[in-house]
Amino acid sequence: MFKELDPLLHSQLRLAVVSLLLSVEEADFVFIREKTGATAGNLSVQIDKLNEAGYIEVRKFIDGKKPRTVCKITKTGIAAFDAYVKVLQEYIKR
Amino acid sequence: MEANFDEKDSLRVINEMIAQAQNNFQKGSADPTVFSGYVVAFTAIANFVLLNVLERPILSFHVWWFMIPMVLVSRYIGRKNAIKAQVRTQLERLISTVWTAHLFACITILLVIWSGNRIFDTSYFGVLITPTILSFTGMAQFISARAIRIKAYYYASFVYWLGALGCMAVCSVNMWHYQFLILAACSILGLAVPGHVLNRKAKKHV
Repeated sequence: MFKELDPLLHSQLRLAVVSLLLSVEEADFVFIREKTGATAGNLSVQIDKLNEAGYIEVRKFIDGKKPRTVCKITKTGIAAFDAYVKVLQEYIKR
Repeated sequence: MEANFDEKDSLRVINEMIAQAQNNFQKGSADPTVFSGYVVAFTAIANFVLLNVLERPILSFHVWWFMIPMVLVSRYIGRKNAIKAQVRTQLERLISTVWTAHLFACITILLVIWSGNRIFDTSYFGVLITPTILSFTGMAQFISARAIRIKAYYYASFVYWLGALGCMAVCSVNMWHYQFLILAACSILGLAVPGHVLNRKAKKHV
């Protein structure tokens, strides 16, 4: 039924991450975890998948003594999300 | 693909996440404006006091050199907060750009008025500095208000615009030095207070 939908985005957590990042300029891993309600392990895996696909950019650095992971959506990610929403609209219109 | 995750679920997730991201500001995102508000108020009061106590009142205007370190410290606070922030929104970038434009506009108007005084061999144009800067600041606060939808910022912009008119009113009765007290009041009511409101909101949401 959902063959045309991007399989990478058609997942609850990955779609949540991309939707969240689309609405902000960049967000910390902790912020995304709190807003999506996901576990750290699962979120980490899904962020890696989105990063490998080039949908998001992941920046890791040390802030004082704390390691930080900051994510930002890329142009590829925005285009993929746009395409996903267009297909979604077609399904809804049916 | 996840089983039982259909188009309705997709829409729900998108809407929920967009709603979650709305009105999120980094903690302490208004710290630079709160700091600037108090420093400008303090400097304006210092200028007013010195105008009345110094033998050469013109020297009192040198307190405004204090604005250079204030801008640098304010930028440093903003950058430090941005690094520590859990989230940075496009709105925050927009507001930051508005304040950068405000800084350039203020520098330009100072140069324009200084040039005017030199060209026409007068010092009268100097009384236009405070009301013009207040008008610019009111505009910056109005744009911020429109972007972040916090009423305190709308009130702040009107405080600044009324302050600008007040500055000309005190000039008309030959009490131009009271402009500095108006500036101090505007800085606290129009910059520091809405800054505290935004910080409180950011603390609540992030």
